[in-house]
Amino acid sequence: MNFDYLKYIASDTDMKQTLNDLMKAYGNDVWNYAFLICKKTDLADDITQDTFLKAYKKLHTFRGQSSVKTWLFTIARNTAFDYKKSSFLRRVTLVDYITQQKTHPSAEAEALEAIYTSELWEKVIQLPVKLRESLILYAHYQLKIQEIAELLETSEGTVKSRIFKARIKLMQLTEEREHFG
Amino acid sequence: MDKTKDPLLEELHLPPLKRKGFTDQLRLRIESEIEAQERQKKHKSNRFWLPVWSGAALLAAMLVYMVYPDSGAEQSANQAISAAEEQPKASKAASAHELKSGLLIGLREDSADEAEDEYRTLWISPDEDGLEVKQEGGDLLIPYKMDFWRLEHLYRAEGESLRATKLKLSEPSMTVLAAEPVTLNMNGERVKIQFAGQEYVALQQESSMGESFKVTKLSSIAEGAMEPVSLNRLAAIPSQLTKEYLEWTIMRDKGSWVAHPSEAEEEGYPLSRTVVAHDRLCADWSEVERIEPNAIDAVCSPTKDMLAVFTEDEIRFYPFEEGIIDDLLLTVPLKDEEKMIMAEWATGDYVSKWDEWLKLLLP
Repeated sequence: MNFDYLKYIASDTDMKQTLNDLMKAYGNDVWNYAFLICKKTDLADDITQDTFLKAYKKLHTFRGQSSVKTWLFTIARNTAFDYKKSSFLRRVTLVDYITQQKTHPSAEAEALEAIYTSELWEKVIQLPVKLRESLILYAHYQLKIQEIAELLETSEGTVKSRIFKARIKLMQLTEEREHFG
Repeated sequence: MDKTKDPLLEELHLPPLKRKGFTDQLRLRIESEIEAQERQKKHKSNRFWLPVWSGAALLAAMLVYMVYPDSGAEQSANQAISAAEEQPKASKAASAHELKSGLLIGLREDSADEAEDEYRTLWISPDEDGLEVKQEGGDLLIPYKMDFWRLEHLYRAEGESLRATKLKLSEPSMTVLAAEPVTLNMNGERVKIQFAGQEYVALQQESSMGESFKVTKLSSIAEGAMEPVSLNRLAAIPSQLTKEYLEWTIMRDKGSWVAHPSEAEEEGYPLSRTVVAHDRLCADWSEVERIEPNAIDAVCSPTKDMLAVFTEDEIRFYPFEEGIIDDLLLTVPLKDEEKMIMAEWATGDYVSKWDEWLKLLLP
């Protein structure tokens, strides 16, 4: 679907239809991105909802500085980090912390493991958020290094370095798994 | 970096999860949120322009009248004045749109001849024109924290029983997970639910030995136990009362829930907020009686924007603003011998949330 027309949006444009098209084209990408940042399905729902609500309100301000997808990801990322600041995520994080203290993985963690499409994705989700994010944007969403740098508000060199470190870490995780079975 | 030749990155090109995260349900949730926000924006804008237009019309008509005193402008001026006089009325109607509360009421209809009592739950919340009974269902639906309990009074051949079901809400997926219902047989006794609120219910039991009263937790019923909770724990009683009251009940007393030890019925004691989260009338009882001379009870929203006045045969809902009871918004007929046994308020964002949940819970 081509969203070039968003750069020249007119007052009589059917905004709701546009939103619908955006959700159809990028709904799953935004949800997955939100999930890969926060690792919580409930929270990914909320972040995705807020992302599209904000995008709907800002549609007329979109001038094509970036692709629509990168624009939506930027909103999703900011929303996710706003949530992180909020007490809600602090509470969720506390639960995470508590469950991580247990010897056995929690039922939720076990259930989540079962929902990944591959072992590699299970490992990617274990990476620190900065490495994870850069790798996912590059490998899964196929964004250019320059686009990732703009989205993450960092330099291209930092993005490359994070992707490199992510790959090393993934290899280490694979070796650990093979070693400890 | 050439992504196509890198097996690691090729594998990550696949979706991370087996299931689709962005569901139709989530899409509908987003669309309905946009609709709700736009409705709210529209109402605010209408409220802003209404007085401006009325004032402008009045001013224009008066100017015409001053320039052409003998013309038909007098009629225009009168129309404008009547439009301006009507303005507060329109404003009252619009004020209904600013209601921020919804009320979940539980009612018990006492049977006339030892037959079955009937219970029902009504959900009343703001709509575009004011207030509306949005949902109604049999039995009692009792909100507690982020979930609900369904409490049923069953009449079966083996006798009366209470059945409690915990309904756990899962918000993102808008699904209700019902726990296994637990049925508690009353062992031949008759029972009446006299109060339900938060996690407590007050029960009146009747056997061949006579009447008895008990306040218990819903979770206790769900465990099949019905353990009594002491009045001393849940009500503010005078310090000289040192006896522990396990037999007591909760009743209405002109706008308040009060704890009544059954052997000292002339006196009621204020209840703790753990039993009744909100129980403060926003208007004086004399003011309620002035508006509704047949009033027997009333409840007011925590945000002090809505007053529900009970008469013998109706519940009458009024908007309440800055100490003034406004024009009647909604009347809900009551059945003969029907009494309120639960009044739970939702305010702010919870009103629209309950609108959605109660569609599922009170179909």
